[in-house]
Amino acid sequence: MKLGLCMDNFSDDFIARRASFGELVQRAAKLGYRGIEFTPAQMLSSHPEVSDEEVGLVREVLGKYHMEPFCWNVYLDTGAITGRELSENEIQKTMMKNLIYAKKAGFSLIKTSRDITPGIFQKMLTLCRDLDMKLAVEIEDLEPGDHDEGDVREFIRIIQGEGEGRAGLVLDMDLLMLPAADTGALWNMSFGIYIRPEVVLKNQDIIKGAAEAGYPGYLLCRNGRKASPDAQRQAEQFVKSCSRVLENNKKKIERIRKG
Amino acid sequence: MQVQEFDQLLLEEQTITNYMVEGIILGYEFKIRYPFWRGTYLSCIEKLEVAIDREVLSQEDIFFTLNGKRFLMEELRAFYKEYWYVLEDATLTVIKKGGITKGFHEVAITLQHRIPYGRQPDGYRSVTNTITRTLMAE
Repeated sequence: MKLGLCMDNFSDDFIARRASFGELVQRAAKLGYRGIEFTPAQMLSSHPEVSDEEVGLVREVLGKYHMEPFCWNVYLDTGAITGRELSENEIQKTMMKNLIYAKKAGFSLIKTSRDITPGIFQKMLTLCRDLDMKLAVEIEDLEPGDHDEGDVREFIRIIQGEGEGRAGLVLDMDLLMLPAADTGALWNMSFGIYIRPEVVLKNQDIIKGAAEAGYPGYLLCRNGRKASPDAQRQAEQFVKSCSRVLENNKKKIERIRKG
Repeated sequence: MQVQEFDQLLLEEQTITNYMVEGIILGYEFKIRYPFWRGTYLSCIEKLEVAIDREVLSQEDIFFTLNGKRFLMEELRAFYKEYWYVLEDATLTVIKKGGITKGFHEVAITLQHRIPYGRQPDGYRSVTNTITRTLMAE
């Protein structure tokens, strides 16, 4: 389990031009994060046709601060065209372009929302294999039993079948609040889980629970894009608390994993 | 839906300048920014209203310039490949013979825009940002 940060947590400072992408990555590294989720729709001026120059800059900055390029966050923007939705072909090509940009920037995972259908999600797997990339869909607001309904069930079927090891989920923190019986299998098919620092600070057992369940992915700090001193303090405490819980339970977690 | 969080970005502190062509003043201009946490497509701009000293300007008197290209206001909805980066200024050029008088002017902007992701059963979210600032014209 690793600790990561959604770069859009720093939105306030970025859009106010108080800090550049490089300065924000440096800040994330200093806070103790090991990887980032990156949103090109926010941080790249050449979006949506991302230039090689900007892709190279992202790669260079992340390398400089030894930050893992964990997740390339794709907004499909299905409502971009006035009067109609994007066609299936347009969505596929948006995904294709972003797989290429993400690969060039050094990322191994791209994630999108449920604006992608399970059918398109499945069709993208061939290109993911060709490029040696992983693909995830974000599931928000998960309630008990939801993972057995509608398109979520279909995504899971693809992830556990043709997409095994290549496709997965990125989930919000609600997963950690669900009964263990509902979550065990989902942890292991998730590449990342979003969590708000204040939740961890109030209930450190959820980190312990995820670690003990053998969750192998990233815990991604998401604090609502605020740059307030309180939010910064929370982001810092999040890393410390998670690290402390994991260190204190290291032996126990290893024993559990070994069975 | 009214959103105030990013209103201040829409019209930042600045000086209004006259728009001159070969020494002839054809109007005046100032800059605006997209007031959100990420950028958007020009096609998502549903309404952009400008009032100077409480007088709403005709859409026909305004040019919108972004990424080195100049658009008519009525054209914006068609440009779904033209992206307004969140750190990029757009320039509004108001055509007015003789330009704007020197001194302070009240500038009011209303921007209504569609959020192109996260479709709800009743469609995409439409957000309205408004701001009024007193700017100096030179």
